[in-house]
Amino acid sequence: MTDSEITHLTLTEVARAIAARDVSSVEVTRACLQRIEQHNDRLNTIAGLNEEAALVAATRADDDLASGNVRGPLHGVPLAHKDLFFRAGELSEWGSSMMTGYRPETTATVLTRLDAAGALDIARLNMVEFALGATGHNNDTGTPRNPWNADYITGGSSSGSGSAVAARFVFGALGTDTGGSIRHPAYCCGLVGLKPTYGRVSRYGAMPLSFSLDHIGPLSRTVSDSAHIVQAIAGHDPKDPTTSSMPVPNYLKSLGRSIKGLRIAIPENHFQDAVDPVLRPFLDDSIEVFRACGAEIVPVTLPKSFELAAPLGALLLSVEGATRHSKWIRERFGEYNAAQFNRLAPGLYYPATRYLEALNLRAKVLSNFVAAVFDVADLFHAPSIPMPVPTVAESDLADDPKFNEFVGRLTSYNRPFNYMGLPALCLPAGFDAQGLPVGFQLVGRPFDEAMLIRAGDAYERETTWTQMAPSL
Amino acid sequence: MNGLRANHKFDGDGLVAEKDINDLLIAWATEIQALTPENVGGPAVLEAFAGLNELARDAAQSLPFESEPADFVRMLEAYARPSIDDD
Repeated sequence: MTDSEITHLTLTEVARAIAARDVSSVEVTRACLQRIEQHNDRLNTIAGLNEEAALVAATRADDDLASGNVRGPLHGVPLAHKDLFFRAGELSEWGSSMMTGYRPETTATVLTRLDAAGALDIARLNMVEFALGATGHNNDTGTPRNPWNADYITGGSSSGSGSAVAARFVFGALGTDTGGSIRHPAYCCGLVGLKPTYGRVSRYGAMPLSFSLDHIGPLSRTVSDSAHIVQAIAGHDPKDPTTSSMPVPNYLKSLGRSIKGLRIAIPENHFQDAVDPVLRPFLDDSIEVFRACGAEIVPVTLPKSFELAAPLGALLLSVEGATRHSKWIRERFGEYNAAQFNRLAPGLYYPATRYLEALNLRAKVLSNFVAAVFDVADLFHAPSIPMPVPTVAESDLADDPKFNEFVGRLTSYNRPFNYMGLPALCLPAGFDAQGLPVGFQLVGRPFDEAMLIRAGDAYERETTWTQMAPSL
Repeated sequence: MNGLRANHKFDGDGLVAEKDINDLLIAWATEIQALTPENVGGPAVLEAFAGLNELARDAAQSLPFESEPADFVRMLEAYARPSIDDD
């Protein structure tokens, strides 16, 4: 296989090829490193890379395979992750010049589990400062660029994760999602992005932003790839007391399944007004794909309390983020990017009672949504970002009075599912007139990632979007 | 903010009627969304929220208390069902 053929394999395919010894981990890793060297200057995806260490790890993977020691389903597969996951003794700089040189003393559980599955971790990926931004802009590290067109945003805050996977630098990446930060880059970069249920994946050893809303999950090119990654990382962790002890199903069993008879709810209200009209045909076509697969489409009326989810989620994020940063907001405020400071600082001023009420209300908002949707359907289909992918220039609004309104609009359809802790899968749905990806999301019942994977995989088998690659 | 007090009625016990709770909470959440760095400043924000304290307290009275992240995970687990494909 040529290097290009290798890097254009999916994670699932390359894992199989390595296991079958059709290709070595060293060959695969070299192909990834070569592609990074050729294109990263233009895409600005990589925060840190040690080529020698990557090849040493790949060599070790090949040696283990040769001696019959298969570590796991991701043996020898090069991945890379958002630069906020700790690995003991290694740099973790959170997209901020304020964290330059930081080396944590512990390793994130998700990285430990991916290591145990045999995956390689070959690079740290650029991100928005402190994971607090939906577009990808970063004045400290430079802004990662969209591989489909470098004038356009990748989406954030897992900006480098989206760019690296779409550019075929690596076969998958972890991101974090506090208000859409896995799903924004999945949408903008034409990828699959999975935000699991709150409590499904350990957050130990990852930079915290908002402990009520932070989720960890994969960005990948296919649903099967995301299923492989989340299979490796999901499950209770005694180091993270917010993780659930509910058993983790075998997500791979949900691949290749029929969705005949599956009920997919579509909203009759709330999601209609703010969606850019150019996106509507893509959303409608995606619904027709599910219908053609035998799913039953069920219109539902969302309860009025659903309107609270986005603003109350914003309140939680602001307060919890400001608390986390309270010392530095006061002592080092000039060192923050303006966009991040402007989103954190108001959190210092909300009364504690408002914050606690926003937490209290999650129960009511969740129960109302579950009753309206999951009492009559298995999944919920919704827009993700309600606008076409913007350019880097037109969305660089940090010092503009329109910034809050723009961010609010960009995140308004993703943030409610962080507030409610529900699992959500972003899927590509085509390309707009400018050649940029368009997507949508499926939302599931709590801990029903399997249903998302089943439906997403069925949708993927009927479409070609995940097979398409940007021309770099 | 003062408009909220003028536009919502209280019964004899000073409680907002159940049917008005959602409207009140949406109005409150909308006000929060309108905060900008320009109007965030200690005294101004505290004054703005002062008028909401009594109203929001009443609204929250009828709502369940689930404030700990661990409790919220238990609530999510309560809504879960066995995986369709895990046979």
